[in-house]
Amino acid sequence: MIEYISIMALPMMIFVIVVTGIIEKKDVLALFTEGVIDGLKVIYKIFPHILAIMVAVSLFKDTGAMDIVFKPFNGILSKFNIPKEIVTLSILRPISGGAANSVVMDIFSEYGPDSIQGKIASILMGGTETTFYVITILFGAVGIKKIRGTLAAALIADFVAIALSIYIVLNGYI
Amino acid sequence: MSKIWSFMIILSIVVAIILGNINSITDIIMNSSVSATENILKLIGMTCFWSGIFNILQKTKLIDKLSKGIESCVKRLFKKDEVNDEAMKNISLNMTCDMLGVGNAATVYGLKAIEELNKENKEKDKANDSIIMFVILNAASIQLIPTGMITLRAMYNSKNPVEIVPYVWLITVIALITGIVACKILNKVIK
Repeated sequence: MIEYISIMALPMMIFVIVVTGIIEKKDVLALFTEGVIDGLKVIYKIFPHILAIMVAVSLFKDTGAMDIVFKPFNGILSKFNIPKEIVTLSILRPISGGAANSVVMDIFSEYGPDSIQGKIASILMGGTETTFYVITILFGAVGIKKIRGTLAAALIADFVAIALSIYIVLNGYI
Repeated sequence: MSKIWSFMIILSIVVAIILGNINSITDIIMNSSVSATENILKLIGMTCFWSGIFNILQKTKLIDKLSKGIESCVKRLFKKDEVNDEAMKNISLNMTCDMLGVGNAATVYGLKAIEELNKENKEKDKANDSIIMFVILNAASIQLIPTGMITLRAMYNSKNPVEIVPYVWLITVIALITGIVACKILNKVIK
């Protein structure tokens, strides 16, 4: 049942959107192509991040720097079987969406999306947000400086989401 | 982010020098740049496709209808005297767009919502409980269908790109509840 819903979700969404557009007598194709331009702008904006992060992450991994940085945590990481890539991803996720996406692509091309790393990354990305960015943008827009417990509450939620993604995949629920 | 990036680059070069494989640096940079380009090329088609579909969605009245439903759900999370009608409307529109994955529109409504919320705020530079709740709702990623991740998985030849959906829901809901509870508690502690 759940599997059926997941498979149907994307095609149904496209179907409903296009049908609604037609019912409301919109020029659906014109709207679509207009949106594609926005998509190209997104690509244009994220490429610098993807290049910056993919180069940095490759350097970090391939020179052996990552092993050195994570050495003190190796005990904890291997005790819970947490892949190092996921630690990098978890650190970058709340800070930069582009960076996190680049790490995910790196994980996908190296291990594949159906590997343990790939599955954790997929669920983790779906269940978390670019917390720092959201907070900065929203409070920044109205000049609120005293944000009280906001950051703490948001990061607690992120931590729970990350821990749970790792737990679900490592215990073979997916 | 800038600090982390510089840290990664500098440390990598230092480590390479110490380990004596400094000549590998140029190779790594070259290969990863090529791979970054290949990755972005893969992304273009599907990103643009979804962007096109979402643009149709944005111009229909579907969002307004869904937003009415959302409004009745989230209303009780906020304090009545801190939220005016215009704020509530924008909060609902913002959350609807977030749920559907229309990020750009969500940001626009989000900014309007926080402006309205701050009008009712007594100390303008200090967040009140409702503003914090709104930001927490935004920081939790409530997305009905994680189209971006599904697309990315499909592009890298996943056997079942959509299998993550129920787990993403589960995690989002738990993270959201955690966020709301943490927010309620912290709002009492940190005045």
